[in-house]
Amino acid sequence: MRQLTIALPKGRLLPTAIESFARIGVTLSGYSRDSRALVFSSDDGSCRFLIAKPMDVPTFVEYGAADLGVVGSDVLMEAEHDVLRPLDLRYGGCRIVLAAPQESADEPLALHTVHRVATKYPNITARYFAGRGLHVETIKLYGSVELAPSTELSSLIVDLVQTGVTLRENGLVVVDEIASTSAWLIANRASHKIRFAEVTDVIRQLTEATSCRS
Amino acid sequence: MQRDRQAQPERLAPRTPPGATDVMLGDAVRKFAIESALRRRFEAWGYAEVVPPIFERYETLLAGGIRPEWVYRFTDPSGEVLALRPDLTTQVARVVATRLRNQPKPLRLFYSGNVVRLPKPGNGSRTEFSQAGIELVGCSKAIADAEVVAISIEALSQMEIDDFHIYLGQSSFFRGIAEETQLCDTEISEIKELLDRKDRQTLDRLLSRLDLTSEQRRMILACLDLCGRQEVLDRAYALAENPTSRAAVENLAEIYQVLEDCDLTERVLIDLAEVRGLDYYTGMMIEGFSQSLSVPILGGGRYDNLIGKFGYACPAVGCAFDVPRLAAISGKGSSLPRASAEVLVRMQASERKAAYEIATALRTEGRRVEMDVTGCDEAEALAYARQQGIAELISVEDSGTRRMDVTTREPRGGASCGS
Repeated sequence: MRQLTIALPKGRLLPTAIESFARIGVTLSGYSRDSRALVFSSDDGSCRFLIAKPMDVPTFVEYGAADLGVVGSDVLMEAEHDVLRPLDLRYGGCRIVLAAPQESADEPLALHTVHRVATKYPNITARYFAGRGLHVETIKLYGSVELAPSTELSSLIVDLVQTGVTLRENGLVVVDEIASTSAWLIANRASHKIRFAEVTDVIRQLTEATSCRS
Repeated sequence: MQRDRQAQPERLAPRTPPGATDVMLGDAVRKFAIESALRRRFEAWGYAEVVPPIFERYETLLAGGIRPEWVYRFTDPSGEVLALRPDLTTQVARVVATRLRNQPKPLRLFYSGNVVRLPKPGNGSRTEFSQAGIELVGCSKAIADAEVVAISIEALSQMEIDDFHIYLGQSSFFRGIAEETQLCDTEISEIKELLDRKDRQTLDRLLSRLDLTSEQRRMILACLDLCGRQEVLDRAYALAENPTSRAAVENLAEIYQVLEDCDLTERVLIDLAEVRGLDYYTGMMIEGFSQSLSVPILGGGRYDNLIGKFGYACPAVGCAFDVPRLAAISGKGSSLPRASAEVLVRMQASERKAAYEIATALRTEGRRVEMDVTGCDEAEALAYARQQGIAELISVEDSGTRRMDVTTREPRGGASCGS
């Protein structure tokens, strides 16, 4: 039987993701942060892990290059991939917030003459403002979104916030919380059928491990 | 100089429209092989071909329940809205309701042709691809559903796809549960969406907010686990006590029994957790998967309300095969016949007649023969044949006809053929 392939997100969520699989007996001692390799086999040989950019994890899973994946729900909200979402892993909790410079934060949003919103999440941003009848110009950035207001690139930002320290240090305050996010287990549609027993077994074990923790 | 440039006709850099592909060479051979294998199987079961037009009135397709987001629309000069067909089932239903309505039933029909769909997430970027399928019209018995399943299994086995499974669902099973809860349509579609994503936690939270008994909650959550071998039918029967769901399980059990009698259940699984297509199908739902592909290779089911939308109430069941996906996985590793010729015939200009006769004689024997049109000499012909993978060269000159093996350059037997 082919190994079960699992895509994990590079970065913030990776250590916890590896740990959560270790807790159900799928250990990955071959992984090291410094390695350039992107594919690792679990110690028991049952699973193969791919390390991908968070935004790419659902793509690997949707097209069946991976059977399962771990990804932040912010990514799932931003790009509507056709993947199954069997389990909220409840770690890596963050918030997607609308933030503004301290001095303009008190102006009501509806009356605010919104020119531009800088964000890594143009779709989430567009949906949020459309739902409030506001027209905005979204500017897509790939990082350091907090720079946008101070450089007058935009008057607002929509960004993922963990502690809020970065916002504060850049003179920004939260105007509204759009969503709270966490890591999710996702699955390929066909794999969930073709390898039903294996896939549901992993889901069940992770579910048990997740509820033990909380 | 300036004038010269203006005289040049403007060159167009050719670009294909997004999603459009040219199927050619080996892919075209494989596509044709799949289509003919399916055609043979359909005909062997007594199905007759229908060839509908590539476009339809948009309203016809819409009435048939196609997804508007799939459809390329355009208007003809009179302002009529037309559309390229996203599937052929709706068209076959229209044909049955009009030209075939007075024919004795059941009718066994098949089709093979291209469908056109706007690219959308989850459907990949394919805009046009080949589909072949069957429709068994005018019979609502389980044995008719089983026939469609049996043909699917036979067709896939015949194509030497040895890692496939057929998943059978029943749309009335969840419908029965949904009706029993007496929830509103919005709530039901929220539940369906979460069942579809297999999102147990969010579903559980939603269900505890809704006006449901704990028994109903448990029942809906348990739907997520209804995938597996025959025993799923027993679990499903015990789970849902409402008459609609029970009838659905009994119907699926009967279909399964027919297949078992024919010794065809080895590759059949039951999937009552599948909620896609619930609004379209009225009974059995069928999906086929191969281990080597992460997308379905066939799909279909029973749609007893479709033909009635065109004014003639008539039950029907059918399924469609995804030809390019089958072509991608079938007979992997086995060598397929090349599309190009096996023999190249070149001749001196004066020997055209003799060369033509030699080529005709070989073609009558069933060999694929290419005639040189460039007027090249023997050495050039050899080089060309080697490049094209043509095994044999026949060179016709007034001094005589020579037959040679392209790789070894050795003369072949029957050098005097035709002359």
